[in-house]
Amino acid sequence: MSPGSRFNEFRVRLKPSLDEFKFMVKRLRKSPLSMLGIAIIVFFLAVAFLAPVLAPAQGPNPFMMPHVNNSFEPTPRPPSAEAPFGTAQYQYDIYYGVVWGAITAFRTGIFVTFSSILIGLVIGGVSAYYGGVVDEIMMRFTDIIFAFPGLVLAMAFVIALPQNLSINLGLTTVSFVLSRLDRVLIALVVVGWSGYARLIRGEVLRVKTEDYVEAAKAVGCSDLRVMVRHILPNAIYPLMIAASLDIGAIVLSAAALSFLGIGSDLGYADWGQLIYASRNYIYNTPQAPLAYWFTFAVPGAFIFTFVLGWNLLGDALRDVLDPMLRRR
Amino acid sequence: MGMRAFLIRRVLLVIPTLVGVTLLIFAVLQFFSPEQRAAIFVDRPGLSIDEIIDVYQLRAPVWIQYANWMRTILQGNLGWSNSIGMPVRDVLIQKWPATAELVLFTAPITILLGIYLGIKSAVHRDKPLDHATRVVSIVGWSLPSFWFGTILLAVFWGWLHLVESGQISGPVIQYINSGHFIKYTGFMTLDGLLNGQLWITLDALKHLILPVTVLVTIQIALIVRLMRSSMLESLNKPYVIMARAKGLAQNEVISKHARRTALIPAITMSGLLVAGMLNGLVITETVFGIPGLGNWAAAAAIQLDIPAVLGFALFSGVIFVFSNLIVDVLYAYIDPRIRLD
Repeated sequence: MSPGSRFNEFRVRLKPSLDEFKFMVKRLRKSPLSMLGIAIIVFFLAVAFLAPVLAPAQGPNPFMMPHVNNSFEPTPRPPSAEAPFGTAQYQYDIYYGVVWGAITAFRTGIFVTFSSILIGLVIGGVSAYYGGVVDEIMMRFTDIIFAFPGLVLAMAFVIALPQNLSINLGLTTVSFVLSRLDRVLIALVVVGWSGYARLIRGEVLRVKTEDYVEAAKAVGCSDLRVMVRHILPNAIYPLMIAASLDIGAIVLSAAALSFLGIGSDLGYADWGQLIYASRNYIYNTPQAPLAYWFTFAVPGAFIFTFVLGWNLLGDALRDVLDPMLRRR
Repeated sequence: MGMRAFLIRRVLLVIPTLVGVTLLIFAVLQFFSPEQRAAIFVDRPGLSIDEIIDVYQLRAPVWIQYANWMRTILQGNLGWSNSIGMPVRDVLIQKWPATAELVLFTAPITILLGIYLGIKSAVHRDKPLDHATRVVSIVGWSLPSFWFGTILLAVFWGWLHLVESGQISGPVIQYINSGHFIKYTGFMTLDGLLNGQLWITLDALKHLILPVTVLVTIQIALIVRLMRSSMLESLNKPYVIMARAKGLAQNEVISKHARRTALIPAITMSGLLVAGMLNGLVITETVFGIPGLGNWAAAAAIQLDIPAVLGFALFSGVIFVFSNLIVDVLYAYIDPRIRLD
């Protein structure tokens, strides 16, 4: 068999998925809102990657915001040449904070989403695969976490997680030192996996009885192969939509925890924390009531735009990928 | 299975769910050392930490601890909130009206406006109104509630001097403390009327405008999107097409044929709305300085007041269990397929 024909065979096999992908891109390009969402995400990706250029690090840890002019004065200062977006409490540079905060936002969103999906895959997959009592118990517990007010539960977990976490694995004990941001991320995973577990369980149950899965089993495919090659690809699109909508929601929750004062460490480049620091400066004096508008306006605009980008994309994906809504 | 059997089964299901909620909170509790955990077992100062650890067997195996903890909860003892210097149970009783008042104003507006906009969007699909609703709901969904609230406060308090933060204004607080005011319900809007002081009701209403705006804005997208898609589905059902074909007016088709079935999925989602509301309350009450449960829990979290945060979490859990019960019963009442299944 010549290499060319093998390539052709590969192309023929991939054609349906490729067509599906092309169709998706075509639909996405026709929707101005989704293009806006993608543009926003690309902008933030650029900010995150160019952070060392846009705002050169001034200390050993680039994520710690520098104090402008090495001052620790509590009163914020308006935008100036040294600090284009002004300074926050203790003279933290807001410009530096929002630029490096973009990395924090991506890290938060992507880490929490992927960890949640992994846990959801295991729990949802096992639940759907074994069924019966295992399914019943696991899903009842998942339902409780799913319906429980997420932020309230995350608050409890953030204050409950210790600084030094030791996990006894029988043979060895693994120890982690958890920063305050790590604790926020873990708490959000603990709260966030349940939605994916439900979604994946539902998808697996739906696909399990399809003819092509039965056929794959009949020709002797292993359970793992059936799961990875046949069930997963057909369950992947709902997962993509949920993940895209989730990244925005996760960044919002993390920012909300920071705003409540139980987020990242003081001085860490994190949009939510900049807003937390501005809480005492909403109202100044009757003569100049909004003198410190920049302390909350700028970081908040970053959070809002970032979340908006992901939600626009997720919303567009839902319309494009949902077989019930499209092609009409 | 009739409605009665469904009701009994559904009410009985509350018990394992409540046990699940307590297990979840208990699991969080286990992260703390026995010394830190002690405050959740007693609701009055007096016993030393060592005595508490001894009496409640805080170093014993977890199931004994769980049994002891459940016993104290069932006796109505939720521990001592150190940040406010009161038993958690008393704080819950004292502070729930401010929170409930906020919810009672927010929920109907969110649900009715959300359903209305969702139906309008579906009926005028891909028209300007649909696009506008879509953009507004995505923007609302993406707005950080703490930021939106802060901006509203900065504009309407700092700049325009129309309102201030808090639940009521200074003169009202003075009047309440003067002794002529009787707190019947704890709802300021209602107590003002019951005391014959209309100005207090108006003052309380004025203070509710901004927080309710924030909560409605961030919640409404969920209902609008859901209502829109279920209405679109319903509009394509054969009986709706039939209704159109026999020449019924657009209004009749929508209100008598399409809307009824489309409402069912919206009702099942209201349970999630309650959860979203509890999340939003923590932030909104903190931003606007409303002395409710969310504000207390947020302040307690910073000070590592464990009984307060877990007490609030438990309270939220119980609320969501019962709101889901109500939703399911409503659902079965509206949709006979559920109870006859």
